[in-house]
Amino acid sequence: MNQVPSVAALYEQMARTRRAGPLVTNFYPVPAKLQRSIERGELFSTTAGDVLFVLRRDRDFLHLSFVAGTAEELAAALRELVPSVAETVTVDVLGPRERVAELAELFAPAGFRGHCELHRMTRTTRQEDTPPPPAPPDPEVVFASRDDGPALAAMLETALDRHGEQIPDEDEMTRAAADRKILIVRSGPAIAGLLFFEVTGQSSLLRHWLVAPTHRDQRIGARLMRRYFADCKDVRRFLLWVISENHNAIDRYRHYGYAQDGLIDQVLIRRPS
Amino acid sequence: MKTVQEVLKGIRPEFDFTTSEDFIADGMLDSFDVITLISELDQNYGISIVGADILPENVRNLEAIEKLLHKYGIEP
Repeated sequence: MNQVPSVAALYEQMARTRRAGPLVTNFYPVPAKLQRSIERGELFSTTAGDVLFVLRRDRDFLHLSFVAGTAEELAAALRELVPSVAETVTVDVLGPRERVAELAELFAPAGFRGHCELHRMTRTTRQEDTPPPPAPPDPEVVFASRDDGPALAAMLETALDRHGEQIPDEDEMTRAAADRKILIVRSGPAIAGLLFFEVTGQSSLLRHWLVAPTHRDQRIGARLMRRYFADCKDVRRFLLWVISENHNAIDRYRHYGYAQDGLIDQVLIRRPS
Repeated sequence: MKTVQEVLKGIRPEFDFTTSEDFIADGMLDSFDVITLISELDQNYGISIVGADILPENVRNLEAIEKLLHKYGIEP
């Protein structure tokens, strides 16, 4: 397993794997995020046969991505990879349910077990749709500042599952706050609720929406969501991922017009024996 | 047989693909949509696009998709 020296080097490795035939992968890289992981020394790669594995360190475990020609090649390569990794490894197997089930089966002989399942939900609006009436201004919903980064990261760390939900760290939350991607409601010096989102053109991904346990049932989440939609009035497609067993959250997202779109993320985990 | 625009509209009906020069940067297609699009193009035109061609730059706009299809002998 070697540290990835640059985005270009990684893309070159990917191109070699992709030279011919179809593609089996869970690796959909965003160059800016790759670059950040490389700068922090978190990104590693290795090959087994014609299969490329990319591993990203996250706290005390590794996220595994793969680029393979066929499912059979991937299964064989996994058997080769696993003995060389002594740490906990998670892998996100993505796709429609039938495809995910087929791929997840390949990981079982290598010691991976199901950890959790996430469902993608989508909310779409069309240009011809009548926009909702503008919400009255809510001066208590504001963008977080850089200084909020540590508190925001701590909130997520406490509330979420680090193996299943790809929790941003303090550095990422600080950057996101500086880039006006995090809406918050304060309660004195504390943060009562947060909504972390990203916008790409006409799409927006809702990364995290969280109200502190001490401030629930005060409509803070609703106010954050209202402001989010108001600020993203040009967005046509809103996306998010939610843990399939979090029925409460799924019901809330449905209330805001999201619906499951059939894309599944099965998170598998392999713990060292 | 559907046109490329019809295939795109079938995947993401909320967008007007004729107005964009870069579907990825404009948030109209994400990584998963690219895989779906490739599969739809395969089925619609009876071709098999190889992994080496499954790249964002090959589906970033209508012109790029048509160029990709030309490579497989299709005149969309």
